[in-house]
Amino acid sequence: MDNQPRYECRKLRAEVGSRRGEPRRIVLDDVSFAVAPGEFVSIMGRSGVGKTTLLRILAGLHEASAGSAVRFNGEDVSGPPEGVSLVFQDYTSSLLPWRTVAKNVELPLEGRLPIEERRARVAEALEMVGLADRADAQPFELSGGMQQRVQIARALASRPVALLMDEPFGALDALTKADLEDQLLEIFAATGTTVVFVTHDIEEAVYLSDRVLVLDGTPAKIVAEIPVSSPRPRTQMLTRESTEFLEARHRVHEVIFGT
Amino acid sequence: MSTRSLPGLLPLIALLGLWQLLGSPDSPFFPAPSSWWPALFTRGQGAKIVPAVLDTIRTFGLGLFIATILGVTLGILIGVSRQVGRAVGPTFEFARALPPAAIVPVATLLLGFDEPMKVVVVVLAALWPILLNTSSGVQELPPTLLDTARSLRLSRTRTVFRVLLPSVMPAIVLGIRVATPIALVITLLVEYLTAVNGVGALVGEAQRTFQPARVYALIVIAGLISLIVNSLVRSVEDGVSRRRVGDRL
Repeated sequence: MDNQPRYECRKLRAEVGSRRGEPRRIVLDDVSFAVAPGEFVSIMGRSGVGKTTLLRILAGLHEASAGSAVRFNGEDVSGPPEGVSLVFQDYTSSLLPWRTVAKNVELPLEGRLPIEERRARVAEALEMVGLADRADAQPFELSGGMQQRVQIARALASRPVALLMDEPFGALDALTKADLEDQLLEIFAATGTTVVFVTHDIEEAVYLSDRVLVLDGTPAKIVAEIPVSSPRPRTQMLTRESTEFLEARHRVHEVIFGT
Repeated sequence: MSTRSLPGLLPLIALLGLWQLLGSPDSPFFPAPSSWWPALFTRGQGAKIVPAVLDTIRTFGLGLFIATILGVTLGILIGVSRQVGRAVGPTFEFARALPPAAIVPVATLLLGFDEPMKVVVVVLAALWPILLNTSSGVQELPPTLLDTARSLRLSRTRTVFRVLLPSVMPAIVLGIRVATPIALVITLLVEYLTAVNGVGALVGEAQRTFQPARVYALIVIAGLISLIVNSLVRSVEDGVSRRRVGDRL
């Protein structure tokens, strides 16, 4: 029924470095891909390759160069589109420290929805990330993993059709990271939202995604597109031991590091 | 003022005690402290004191208030937009370097000897610390915070009042704390120079009419106003910083 891709980029080109005196540098050139509704796509690549720039373009925070086509639900992206939520790696700077957890999650709904509706959405979002009992806590009282959950809850509160995540678990310890990965997969299954996930962790990309896009080169383009056929629901132990997982991981590794 | 600051006042009390014991009651320069208080009320001048104190507080308060509104507004504009910053930067640097006392003749020329003139001079002096603290506070915000506001598609007003202002509040309060003594000093100075109302004008009057004890008494009053105002601002600042750190303390 919904054959139109959620996201579509064609011949995307991007420059960065608008600071005074600094020449603009082309980071992405001729990047083309599409993301289907309900798909989980990861963008992989070495650090500095332009993954975050690409995600910021999808989020409407960075303008692609002239001639590029970036469409969300068939419409050109100019500024943050409605229905898209972005989760930053740096949760500390993204949450408002003077607001409680619930008030942080409510922020995007304020002025848009009546109070009862907002409360219900906040409760629902906090429930999804398992923080229902910490609604009245201040962000700094929570661990890093929990703060990142608050940010994810805030992203979910507006019921996005697409969730963009910029290395969301990059600053967390391995155990917390595994927990949050599984929670994200549950949310992904429960909401049917489309996810575009930037990471530099091969295992994480393969474990979570339907498809892994690998960016490489200067300027970077998509050098490989690796589908992951592991069935869902996935679990940390069984999925990571399955042949499909190992195969996909092997291929991503091959693309990034050579043989 | 807490009781903890009392020991700090001991040298001052000792000095006044010595002054009282050693000073001569007829000295034209150092009248004994005991003669200060009565000097406030001699020759029916007592009725001037309370209105003068109120005048000074009003000029100071109004000046600081306007400086805060203006400084925060301009500071946010400059902090948010690099173009605005570059456009007005040099002008502000020049205006900031002008000593407030040098503005007084121009201000009296343009505005006359009245209350608005006093307020304008106070605003021009107290504005800078608030403006500069606010703009650098905005510039030092993590880029992620502003990206968050944009990506949540918050309106401009909501971004300013719900995200920006609360984030730079500690910087603003620090600016106000720096500006407070400046505003008070300049209020007294303008009053003294122009003889337009207030405690400063009374000091000038007492000085010109050779009433040294009265001069000292008025200076004590000015000092008390300053003490009260500064401790008020400090408690406001403590309140703001405690709220930022939260209930961890």
